Amino acid sequence: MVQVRPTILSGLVALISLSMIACEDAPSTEQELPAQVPIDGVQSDDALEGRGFRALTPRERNNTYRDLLGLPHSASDWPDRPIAAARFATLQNRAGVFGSQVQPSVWPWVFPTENGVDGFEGFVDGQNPSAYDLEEVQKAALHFAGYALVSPIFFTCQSWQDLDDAAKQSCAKESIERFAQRAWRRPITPDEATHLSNLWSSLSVRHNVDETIVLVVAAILQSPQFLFLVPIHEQSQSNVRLLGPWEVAAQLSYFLWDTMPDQALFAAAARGQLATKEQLMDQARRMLADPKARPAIVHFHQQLLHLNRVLSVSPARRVYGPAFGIEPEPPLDTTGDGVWPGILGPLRHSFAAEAHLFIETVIFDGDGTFSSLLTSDQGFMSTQSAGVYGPNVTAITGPIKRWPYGNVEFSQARRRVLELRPIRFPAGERAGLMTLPAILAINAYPVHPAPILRGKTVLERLGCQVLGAPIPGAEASMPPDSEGAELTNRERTTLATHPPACDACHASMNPPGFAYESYDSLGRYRTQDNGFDVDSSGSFMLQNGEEFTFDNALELGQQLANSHQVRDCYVSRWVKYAIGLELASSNQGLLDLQAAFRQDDNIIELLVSIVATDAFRLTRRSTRQ
Amino acid sequence: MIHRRTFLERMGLLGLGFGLGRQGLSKALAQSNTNAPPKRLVVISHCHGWPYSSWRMRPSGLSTERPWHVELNSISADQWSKPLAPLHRHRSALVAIDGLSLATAELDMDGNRHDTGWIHAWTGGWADFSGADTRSTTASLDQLVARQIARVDRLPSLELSLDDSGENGRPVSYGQNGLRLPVESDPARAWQRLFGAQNSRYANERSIAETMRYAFQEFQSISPRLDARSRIKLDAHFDLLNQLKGRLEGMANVQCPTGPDSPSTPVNYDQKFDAMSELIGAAFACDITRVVSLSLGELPTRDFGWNHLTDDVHKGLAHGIYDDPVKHTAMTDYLHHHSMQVARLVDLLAGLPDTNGSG
Repeated sequence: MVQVRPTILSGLVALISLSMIACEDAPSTEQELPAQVPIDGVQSDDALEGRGFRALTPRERNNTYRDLLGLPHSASDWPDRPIAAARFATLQNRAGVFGSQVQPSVWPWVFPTENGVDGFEGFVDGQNPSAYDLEEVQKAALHFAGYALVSPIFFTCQSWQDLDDAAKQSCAKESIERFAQRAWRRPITPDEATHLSNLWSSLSVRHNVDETIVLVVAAILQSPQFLFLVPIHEQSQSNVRLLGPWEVAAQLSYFLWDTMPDQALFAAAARGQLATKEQLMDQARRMLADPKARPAIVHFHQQLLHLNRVLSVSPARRVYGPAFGIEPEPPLDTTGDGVWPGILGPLRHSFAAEAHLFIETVIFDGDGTFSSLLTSDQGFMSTQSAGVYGPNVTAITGPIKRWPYGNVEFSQARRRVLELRPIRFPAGERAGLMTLPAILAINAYPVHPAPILRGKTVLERLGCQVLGAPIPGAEASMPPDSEGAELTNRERTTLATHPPACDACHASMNPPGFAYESYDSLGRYRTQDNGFDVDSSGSFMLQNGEEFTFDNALELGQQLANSHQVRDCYVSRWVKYAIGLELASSNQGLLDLQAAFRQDDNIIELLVSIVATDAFRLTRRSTRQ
Repeated sequence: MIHRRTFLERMGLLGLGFGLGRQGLSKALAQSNTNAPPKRLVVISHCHGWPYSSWRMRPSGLSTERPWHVELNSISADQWSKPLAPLHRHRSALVAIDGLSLATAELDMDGNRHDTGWIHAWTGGWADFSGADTRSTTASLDQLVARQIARVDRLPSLELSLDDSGENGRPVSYGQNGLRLPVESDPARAWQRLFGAQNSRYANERSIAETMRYAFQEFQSISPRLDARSRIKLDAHFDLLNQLKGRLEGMANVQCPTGPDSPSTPVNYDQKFDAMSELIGAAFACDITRVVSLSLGELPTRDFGWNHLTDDVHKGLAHGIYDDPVKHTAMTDYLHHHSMQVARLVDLLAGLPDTNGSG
């Protein structure tokens, strides 16, 4: 059990202090469990091997910096960084094109991306410390520490600048302790308090109080307690235990918000009110109603479908350029062919925004069902993407969403804003997440769509079906991606994959891909391919024996939405994302969640139910080397 | 050309890349004669296989069955293959290996063959597909070399890419645990990493180092409480933090008269390659790092004159070289273009001053 230092907080900032004031009296909710006891369907043996001690992801780090400092979500609204902080680290302007200076954004910090596991961040096995990452962590710590001086929530006292030196010293130390508690997401121990005090004393010999604050905060932001979700009770002799309240609070917030706990969550942890399933479900419902949940829940889907790749899709200019009023072939020049990038850049960002808003709207503003995710006929469209959706969309009521983005156009870095208005897709042409241009363009080649990639996405990402690697030489026999190719794209793909050695996988992989043949590489709806009618019909079977027969992508979407295997897959992916490991398919807790989701189809309720499982709160010591 | 066994023997002494110093390539060659260990390593990797028949240079009478060795100087310029021709001017420093194959990769049948080939080529180890992310079972060559030649007070290695796709091209560098290392594809950020500390001149190194020492102590206090696996992970982080502290102190004291300005945002592939080349050269000259890997991302077909056929080198050309002579020709041009880029990089490196470098 962690030792808790008696609080010294004055209560001047009662709201923020609340959780920490109560921590000394927090009841213990730690429960050590016999090693082989099944808990709500979770076996204690290898089921939880590998869990724990993960680092915050780059995204989580950035969100946590912002929330620790109580600063706005938009970097343009951040206060200026104090001069005292500039002494230690400054954001250096980067050279832009033709020598112009580009001022980097003060937030978020650009960290190297995680390797990830199966496309998802935040898994122990996908996190590889590197010299590069450590450098960026150190630079970011110094950068964000400077903002403590202008943070609206850092100081425990008021009118900081008006205090005399003695009062400043006292307030600064209190403020730093409270900051450390929030940064580490738990009360600090006496040893930790001593370490901080020693650091303060050492630094204050050479620096004034403002500078000392910056340096100590930077130290906290480089500490393992901040960078990792450190198990608090690892000295326990038991192999299996339930997470303590502070750990549960952090696990909840990083699962549902991608950021640190708020004061209500800290307060609940301090009062021991994260112990029962009902308490956890109440917290989850509260958190899911908070705006912070929206980008976090959308982010899960972005990882699920590799949506970040939409910002690098490259449809061929000579095929798709004329649709945007430009010549198919540009003359060679030294400007980097600014016309096509100037069209593609905003289009890519619009596709990304449309997918984001579609997911968010279905889950948080619509009926919140998985079925709607795969079948909704309402989405968003910008002026830039209007040509992709075609003339038959219908405007519907709803707020226009503004979407800032950056792009290089005609060799100049520009910041622009897209305006996305709500629309209803043309009947019979488009419905559901899988028919959004973002998904379709990702799974396409520059000239032709890629039914194999599209089918693979359906089977692997939605169906959790495990597909083997292509046989040797398979990729060399793929159909050409050129305009002059004969037959239809479907026919060429079928010919290339018809050998028996290929057919074992492609018999189930091609048909769901063919369902999307009604969309070209840009995601435009089409009825003709190379002069022939598009055939988007097909049938296939999933591993659980479910059969799918459809005439087009809309029918497939309906069937996928109702598929047991697809819904079960969605549940198991969420569970794995929530707890950081994959439960066996026979796990009773998982089976219960899947059974419930098959019935109620409600994504928010699924997330609430996951939080209430023992699997969410269970951890064990790893013996694996 | 030399027999590959001879090459491998030399590699242990010379290194795979170009050991460049004050006197450039001629000095690198001279080192090879003195059996001096490598001082610098650049690993450059492009995305695709190549048309072997147009790449090879095999003067008549040479066996396809037995080892042979030919001095590149003895092959006249007009006899050089098109893919290698741009490197003719560097022939005195060039070693071309003919006849290598990824036999072990062909035996490693699990998983995607692209990944398998890449991992075998750069690590010599087997691929690990047990996780969803393809890994190696060993560290890559550049990292093994970095462990031997890197300065503790400078960057151990620099991983660069010319790929904006978010996937950063085909990975070249794998850490000791077999996970691929993150790469930098933005020249301006790479510049910041190399020269930022020198330019910002942290005025308060001592205090900043103290914040890192504090973090280091916290790592030490937490470590005993963790289980074995978590402790290993923490220790890896912990070691890097400690190295970083020493490195920051060292980097802030770099004396680098040739440090370049932060590069402008490149607007095409060649400009980006040249921007990265300048950074590599400056980093070597200033001894900021001694090992660099550069993964060449997808070269636009327009850049080597084949955009009328396809926009996709991988699927549109590279996969078709075995049965389509047109695509074979196109990929020959592709290689020629990359060789021109590499030749420019070597020109640049050969002309750089040496600061405590390869001498």
